[in-house]
Amino acid sequence: MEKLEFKFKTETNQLRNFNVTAGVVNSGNLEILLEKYSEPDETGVIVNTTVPGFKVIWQAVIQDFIDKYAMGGCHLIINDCGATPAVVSLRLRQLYELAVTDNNHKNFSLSRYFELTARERILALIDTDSFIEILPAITKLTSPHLGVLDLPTEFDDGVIIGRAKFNNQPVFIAAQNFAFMGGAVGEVNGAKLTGLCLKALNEKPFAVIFLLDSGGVRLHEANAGEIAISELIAAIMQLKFAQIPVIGVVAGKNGAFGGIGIISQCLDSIIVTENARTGVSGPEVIETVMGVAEYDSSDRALVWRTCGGRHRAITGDGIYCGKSIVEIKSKLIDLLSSPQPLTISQLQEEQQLLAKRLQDNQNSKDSGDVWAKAGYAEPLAIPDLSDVGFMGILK
Amino acid sequence: MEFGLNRQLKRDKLSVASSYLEDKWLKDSQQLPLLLEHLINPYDRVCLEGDNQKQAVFLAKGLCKVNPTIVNNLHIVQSCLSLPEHVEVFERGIASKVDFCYSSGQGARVMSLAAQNKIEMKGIHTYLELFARYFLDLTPNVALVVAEKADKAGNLYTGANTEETPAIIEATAFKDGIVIVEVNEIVDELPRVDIPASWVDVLVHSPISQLVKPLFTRDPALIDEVKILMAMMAIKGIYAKYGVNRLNHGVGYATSAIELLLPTYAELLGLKGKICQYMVVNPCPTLIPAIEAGFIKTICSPGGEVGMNEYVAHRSDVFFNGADGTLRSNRAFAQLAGLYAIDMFIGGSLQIDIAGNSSTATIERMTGFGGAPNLGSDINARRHSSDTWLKAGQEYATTLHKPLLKGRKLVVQMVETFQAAGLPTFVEELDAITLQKKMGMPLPPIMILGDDVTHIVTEIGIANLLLCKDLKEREQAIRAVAGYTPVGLKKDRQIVAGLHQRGIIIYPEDLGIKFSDASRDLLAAKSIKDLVEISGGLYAPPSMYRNW
Repeated sequence: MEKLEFKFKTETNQLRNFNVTAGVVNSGNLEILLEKYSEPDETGVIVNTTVPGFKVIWQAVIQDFIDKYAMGGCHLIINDCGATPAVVSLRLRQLYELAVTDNNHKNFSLSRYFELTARERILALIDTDSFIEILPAITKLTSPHLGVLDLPTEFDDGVIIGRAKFNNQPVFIAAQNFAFMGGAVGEVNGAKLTGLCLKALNEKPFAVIFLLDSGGVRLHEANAGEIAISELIAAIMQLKFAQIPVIGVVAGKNGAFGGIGIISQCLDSIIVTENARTGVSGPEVIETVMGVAEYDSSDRALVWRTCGGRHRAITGDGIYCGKSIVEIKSKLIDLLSSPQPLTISQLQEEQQLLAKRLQDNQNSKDSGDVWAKAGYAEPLAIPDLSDVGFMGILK
Repeated sequence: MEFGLNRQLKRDKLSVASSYLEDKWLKDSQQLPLLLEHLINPYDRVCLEGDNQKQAVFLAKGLCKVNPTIVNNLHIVQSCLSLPEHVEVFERGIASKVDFCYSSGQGARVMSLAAQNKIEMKGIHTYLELFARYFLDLTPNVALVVAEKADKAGNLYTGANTEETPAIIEATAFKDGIVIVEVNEIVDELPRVDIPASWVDVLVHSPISQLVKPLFTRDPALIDEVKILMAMMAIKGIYAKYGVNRLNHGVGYATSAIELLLPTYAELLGLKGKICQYMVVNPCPTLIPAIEAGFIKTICSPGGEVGMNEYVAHRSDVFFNGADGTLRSNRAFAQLAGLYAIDMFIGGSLQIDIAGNSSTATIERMTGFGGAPNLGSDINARRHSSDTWLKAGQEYATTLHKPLLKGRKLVVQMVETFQAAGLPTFVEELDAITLQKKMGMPLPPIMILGDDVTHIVTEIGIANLLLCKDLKEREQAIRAVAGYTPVGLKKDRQIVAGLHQRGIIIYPEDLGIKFSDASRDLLAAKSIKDLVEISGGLYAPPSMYRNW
């Protein structure tokens, strides 16, 4: 990592919002945090970059941006992960737009959940203007481990948490940032999720909503991550005992695997979409351990057939939903209107279902066999059905 | 002078080989190497069909197994060196000379063998040049080609991936060469006859299936805002300005972005029926929304694309399909259309120098040319006119104060200023120059010559090189759109301001395009699944592109 510092003389800004961020820390991309700066006619810039040796180019890109937009009294902190100048310019302009407009009023009704960032997913689902972020980027609570390994950090450590109103009810909500380290859980990231649950135990909101999108534990801080997962499981169980509904949504790029795959099944229920995947060992892990003949992780049709949203919906491990924001939102409203408190009889019923599934599928070779056993007449046609078509036949 | 020797030689070879054959069919596929030893003589010119997408895999493996003391010093004449076997024949001393166009996966190995003098590189061609040479001095003595299906008599069906099979077979069969075909499937009745049996000498039922890789599938999910911005600039600043209707698209993400903006952004600008109606291009899945929206009337395709066959078969109004309904691609004719009939080529490159020359060669890898140099060249031999061609020609003639004697093909380079962080697209000197020196080549391997380039589009803006008075101005125009690359940082701000005033440099804001307008919401499809849905379920993407 290389740290660069710049100061530019410029006119005082006319911005409305500070403490906002643009971009994410992943390969070819960067995150920029905008803060207030003590000198009104100066812009301070700090760049932390994974690609050293390009001070002149950084200077030129930022100079052009500052020449165009008065940014005096602004402090920009950039966490770069190999972005090209084109992407840097784009993110700087997006940051400027966030600073002069109000993202809380952006209309997401036509957006796709899958396409949105973690923060946008929260804003898209909750009631307008109701999000109060806990430990936002400005607190700079980053991973204590990644820096030691000379890896880039992100100001929210890959998860956004906070309070909001959902359908006029107070909720706690968290969204995993799939782009930063694959949404993986580390020490700070996990503590934010667990802390949110523990705070919910005190404040007793109407529900806790997890927007999951993660490959599991961050290998770079695996011990801390594994501990975080077990703490999170314990915290979720406490919420359940306290009769506070905890619902998950798995509809993003990484799905829910590893520890987060386990978490997804600890919740009261999860909403899954066609592009969702959930499981414990991810496809690449299975291939590495069992061999490519057993499981070819590059065969994506196989991956979705065995881990995908439709498979999980058929086996009863997820509640199927269309991909749009509107559909996901209305499914969440449905689920929260009929909470399912944890009971012994419900647990026993689930155990019996699992035992029966195992019994029924002793000779099943592929998901098609499982679906046929579950009573689906044309199992092999299921992946190619439209969402409407699939929901029509889903038992 | 004695005549008829070649015909006699062919008869002799086939008569010696006849014990391996029943009718024209090889009886035991295990005996392929022995058969080839009878049919191929040392120093023969051999085409081991390696097209861009399909390759004669089983015949290639068979040729690698012949005894090099019997068959050696072959002169390989084929377009693509893409299978490991295409290089192995040189390593094993079976072949020693090569004329080719493109070495997709094998570029580094080809270079290292050339450096060890195991390959004598005779010529690196464009497709059309090599096909043309097949009919003069590089006619194959033996062609080893591949067909999807054959009937018992030896008629061939080459289908959507016909590509260059007809060109190879025509040159070989009509000059007393031997045509050997590997066939994946034998059927009683072919969907249609692409090659008549009388042009075929030997058939081999391949025990391994033909490999066709998806080369032209671009996932809309990977198109970012920078590419969308460039696509918007190109549509407004070039397609609309010149009314471009006959064109070729490269197969990168930038042109995919254009394709996906046609039914949305271009439609809003009222450009439907005014641009992009006739295209020379592979059946790229990202074309589906524009075809469905009625933007594109005709597509002339040099090859096929995995997953697109069913869709193409149902869109006969647009594609060149046989009476059986399926596509028949033809690289030679498509390249001819790309050379003479199109008014614009638009595509990307890895490196562009300050004279506008571009290249995809790096110091470690010699990839060759393929078809881009023909598609992306201005042709002095063209005589028919079009408004687009004349408009571009007029701009150039006016700049140079010359009378209008010919139009200009628009040759547009569309690139981001950096390929990745620290890897600039714009350079003072191409790697191709270093490569030329290292390999002792007569010319640097330049893909598209700067003299032919009319426009460069980057995320910074558009440079219209037709309006540059001299090389100095052209250099500054290129530096102006080279952004923050070392080439761009050396621009003369005052000269560039002058170029901007004269319309040589066009920034997004000059076209009324804001950076914030460049949103993924403009894409007619955001995912492969969207493409499937827009195609009405006819597009069947290969498994590697699915996320459902």
